[in-house]
Amino acid sequence: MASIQMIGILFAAFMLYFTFLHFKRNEFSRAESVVWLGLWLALIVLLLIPGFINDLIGRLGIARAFDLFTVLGFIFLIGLTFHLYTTVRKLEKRMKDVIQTEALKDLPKQ
Amino acid sequence: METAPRIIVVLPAYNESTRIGAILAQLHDAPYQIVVADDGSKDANLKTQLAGVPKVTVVRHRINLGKGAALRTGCDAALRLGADIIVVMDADGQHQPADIPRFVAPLSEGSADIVYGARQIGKEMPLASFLGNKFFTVAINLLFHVFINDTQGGFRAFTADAYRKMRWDADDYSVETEMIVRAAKQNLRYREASIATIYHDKYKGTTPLDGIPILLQILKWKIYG
Repeated sequence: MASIQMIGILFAAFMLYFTFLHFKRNEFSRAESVVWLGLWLALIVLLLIPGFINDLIGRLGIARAFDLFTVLGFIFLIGLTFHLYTTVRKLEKRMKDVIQTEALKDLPKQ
Repeated sequence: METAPRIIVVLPAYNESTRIGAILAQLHDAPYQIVVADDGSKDANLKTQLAGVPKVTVVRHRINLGKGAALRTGCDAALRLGADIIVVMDADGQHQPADIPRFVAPLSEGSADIVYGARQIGKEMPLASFLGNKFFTVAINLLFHVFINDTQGGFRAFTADAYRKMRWDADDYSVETEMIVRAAKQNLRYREASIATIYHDKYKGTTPLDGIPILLQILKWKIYG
């Protein structure tokens, strides 16, 4: 087994543990936990059996498994950035509404 | 008999505890009510500092949101207090309360909905501010077909109805530009009133870096309305 595979498996195992921890602390819902656990388990399977995705790689016209991971990683990061952006915007708006409502609370309503 | 319009002066303030006293003293004998919008100042809580000062109402943001947000909260407060005319000016002494009657006159007469203060261009204005201001004047003229000499000045007055029509979303220094764009889109009648150029602190207020988001906002307002 290549050392990069071992590092990947260790990383996925750690993330599995942290996902489980968040679930037990009620910070993740059951559905969230299932999605994340599935993702880390899939990563472990792919790292243990790299040939598993050779067929998919061939169909997509990608030369190596590493390239597939890189492409998927970028897609994931772009999606995550968009999700974080919308979440932050939503939080900003809520915070602004709360602060402005509180600032005006002693004045008569129109 | 016609009653005089109720004029409320809105002063957005952030860390201005040392300077705001001077402007409040100048406004003391004037027939205006004052709303101070304390934008989460760290140097002092103006709500406590100005408690009991006659004619002054303080609305305070628990945390700093930006000049545009403070102006919006201050103007909302002015509406709740029954303002017919709202005057907005900086709390740091850049603007002279003695100029207020020249801003209010066209609004009281009904010949304008909004009056923009126009600083005289001269050696008092830092070069970066001068160039930025001119750039935005040209950009707004080209994109929205209104010619305002001083697009970034904070001394303005408008009727309560005009405020309802152009209530802005900007929380930051793009508020002055958004005000012009919204007023133009609502076809509000405008005038300009010349004012002195006074800079107490060249490092406060809009910086060249603020110009980039303002420019992006202008393009967004043009494209998306």
